[in-house]
Amino acid sequence: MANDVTQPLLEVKDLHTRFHTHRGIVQAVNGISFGIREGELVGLVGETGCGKSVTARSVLGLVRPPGRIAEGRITYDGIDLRSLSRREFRKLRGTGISFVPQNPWGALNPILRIERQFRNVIRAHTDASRQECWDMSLAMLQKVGIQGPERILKGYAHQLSGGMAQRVVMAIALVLNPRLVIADEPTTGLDVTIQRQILDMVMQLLEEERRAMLLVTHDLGVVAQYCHRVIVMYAGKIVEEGPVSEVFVEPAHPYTQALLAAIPRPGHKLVSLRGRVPSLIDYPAGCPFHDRCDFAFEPCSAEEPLLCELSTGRRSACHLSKGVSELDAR
Amino acid sequence: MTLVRLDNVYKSFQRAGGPVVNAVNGVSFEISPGETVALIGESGSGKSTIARLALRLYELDAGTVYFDGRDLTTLSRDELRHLRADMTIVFQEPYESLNPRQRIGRTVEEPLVIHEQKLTAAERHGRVVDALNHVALGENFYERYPHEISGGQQQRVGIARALVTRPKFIVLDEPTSSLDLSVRAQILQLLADLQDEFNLAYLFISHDIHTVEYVSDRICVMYLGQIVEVGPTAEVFANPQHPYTQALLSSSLSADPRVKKERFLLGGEIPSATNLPPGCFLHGRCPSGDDACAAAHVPLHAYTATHAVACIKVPWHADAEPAS
Repeated sequence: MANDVTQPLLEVKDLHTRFHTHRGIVQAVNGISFGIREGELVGLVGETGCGKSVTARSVLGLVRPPGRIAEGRITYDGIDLRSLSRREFRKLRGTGISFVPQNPWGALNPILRIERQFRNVIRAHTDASRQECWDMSLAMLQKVGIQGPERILKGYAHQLSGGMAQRVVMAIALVLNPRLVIADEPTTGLDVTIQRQILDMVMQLLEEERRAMLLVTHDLGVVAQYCHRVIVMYAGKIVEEGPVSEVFVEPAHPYTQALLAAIPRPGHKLVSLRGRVPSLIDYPAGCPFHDRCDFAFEPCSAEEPLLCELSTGRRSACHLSKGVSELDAR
Repeated sequence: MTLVRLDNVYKSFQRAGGPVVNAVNGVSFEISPGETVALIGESGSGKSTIARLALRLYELDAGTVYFDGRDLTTLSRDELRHLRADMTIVFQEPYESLNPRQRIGRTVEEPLVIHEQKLTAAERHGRVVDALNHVALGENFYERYPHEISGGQQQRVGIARALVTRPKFIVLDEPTSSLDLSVRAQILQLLADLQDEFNLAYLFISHDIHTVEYVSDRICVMYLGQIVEVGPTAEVFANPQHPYTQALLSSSLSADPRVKKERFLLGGEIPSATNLPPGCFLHGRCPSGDDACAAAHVPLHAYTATHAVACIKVPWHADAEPAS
């Protein structure tokens, strides 16, 4: 795992991303801060609309109108990403930060051979010869577990199954050895046996080569089994953060507790959350979770709890955080 | 007593000029009143086709479906329509399955208009309000439109519509797959409560292993249109016998990082249903597959009194030993 004294590879400070809609301004990401160190595999989890994908797109410089980053600083390896032009940002993708989207079909060009799509990415950043491009592509496809990669390279996207297409997209994202990979629900549409095959391969590869990953997903199992650290988002904010081995075993924030208790397990009563996620247009006062929380008391509806450090690398945004583990939520 | 029985059911599809897709290849199982039977499998395993065959929403190629002792394949349209009040379905995508221009009340009422023509308008209204109350929406949702309510509420509407004719059997086709975790828990709880209250039989279709383990009494594991293993859910989860079941269960990722599952991976990907392999459909991907597996079709055989497996490597139950 990453060394604690090193400077984070990616640092996000007080990020606000808003969408200007006819109904008002949607505060999709509402002042979040986090860091990812070299070689660290970080899961970003939360339910629909919590802002996890917008966070990923903000870091990647892919927020488009009506959305815009209103405030905040995003630094990658000392570079202020918000100050980069589109052209400079493009240079950084591929070698610095690369992106794996959820839908591989949207990422692959249907009329270009796979070989050509690899070559386009490689040549945007290097002067590799055609043969070098071919060799690099072949080696990377083998690393993500594709047998007979020659045939894949000569073929087109429509000839691939969903699992194959996602592997190809990952291989393209990884081919230039980026130091940080941002993946948005990379295996969500896939069958579980295929998901397991792909994650086993890719996460092991990242770990061995000490690349960092921000893995955006709603699947807690994927994060629990493959990531070092987890960030839990709710209503545009980070509510809890820490090592997977601690957060999933002894969650500090009532929302994290509720999420884990909502996973069906035989012999356990299913605990469901009451109410709904608050509006991101008329943001409530106090803690965004207070009206759904079993532990809410007076300050929760008035004062917003700050994300406090509970122990090294462990943070929670709850007025009760220090004592909440004593109140058994399950 | 059996409420629903599928007997050696086959179904294939063919697009004009295209290859034949063998979606369901000889499937048999039964469901008792008040019981939940789960069908689990990956995409293309034929789960949703079976859901529709069980209600005869598709015509069968071969085999029979019995509901309440009657052979559905021999019934006329009229007879079938009458029976449809007793067997209903809830779909995966709640919003897609609702008419965006119809108020919720009208959507829930529609099955009554079709299947229970003797009811007066006032009686229908009463039944709709009753159904909305049972799914914890209440009468004030009657006049609303689908886009005005959340995904979880939309799925409650889908359940109310399935419930309004007071059925005995409901097919639940991935009812919680598109819902967030916290909403999913609410819907699963609601389905369990309704089952207790009305003694409903459920055919629960899902690819989510955690959900299936939680909700079902018995489980059928499907691969390429066949059942490869069937038995009481707790027994199959504790002691899976078919290599495909083992691979499927070990692929489910626990949210507890202390639980590390041993890796049991299958090679390759699911073969095409247009070109089924000979013998056991899994043999090309199975770590213990050999020539014997490729030689002949492998039917389900008893492994224990209640648990059956379609794998020639799995021993036969003592009482069910084939005569040699």
